[in-house]
Amino acid sequence: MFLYLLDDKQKRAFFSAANEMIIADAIIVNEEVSYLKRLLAESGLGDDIGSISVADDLDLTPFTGRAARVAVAVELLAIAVIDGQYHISEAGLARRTLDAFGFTDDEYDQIKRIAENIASGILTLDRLAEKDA
Amino acid sequence: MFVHRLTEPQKRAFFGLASEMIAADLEIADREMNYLRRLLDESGLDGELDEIGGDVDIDRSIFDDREARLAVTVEILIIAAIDGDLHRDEASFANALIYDFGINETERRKLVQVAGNISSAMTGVEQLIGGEI
Repeated sequence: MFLYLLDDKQKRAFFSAANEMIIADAIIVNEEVSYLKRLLAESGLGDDIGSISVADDLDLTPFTGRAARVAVAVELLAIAVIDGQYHISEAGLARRTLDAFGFTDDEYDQIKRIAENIASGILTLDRLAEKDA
Repeated sequence: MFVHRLTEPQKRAFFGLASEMIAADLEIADREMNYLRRLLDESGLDGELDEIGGDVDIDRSIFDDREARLAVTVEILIIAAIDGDLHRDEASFANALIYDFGINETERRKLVQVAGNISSAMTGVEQLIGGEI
């Protein structure tokens, strides 16, 4: 939803971070995959997303500006909460990332609420659409 | 946010509807135009907004599946709410669309909630960044 705030290099780095978030709880659910697909479509990168890192330590250095850091934080937390469960390992990864970005506890809470609003909106619309499926 | 769910002819028709919606209150807010430009990016359509959204005589029957009708309705509701001022003419426009699409009252309330969630997320990100996005 907010990937347009990133440049192409940052978008590619984001997908490595997103991959880490998806596998953080060792459970990959349809909602997470669907959200990642919509982010891929939104990114405009097409098939050109480059290599996806699976390193233990995320490379957050490409995210230098405030807008990029907010966008990445919101999207990572949206991935974490979109299946309705905020697993402790997802929360740990989110916390480390947001700490590295220098966000305060209040900002963490605000970002989590934004992510929950996005997740709620998408899931509600999906469920309404499924009623007719 | 949900435009990627539409077919290409539906996307073009949507931008016509959205243009009508934005003009409904005779005031075109920057936030409305910014959001519409983001939707245009998401759609993958080439061209400018005034070209794509220029046809004001929209055949609404092109939205012939439930997912498309829901996506269009939510986007119209987001546009209506995004400038923080739901004008009477915008509400009338949205209500007429909801009626045409056969969306019942329970569904309407859920769609309004989805639009509110997404608008709230955008406002939250703006606050964190410290400027309009």
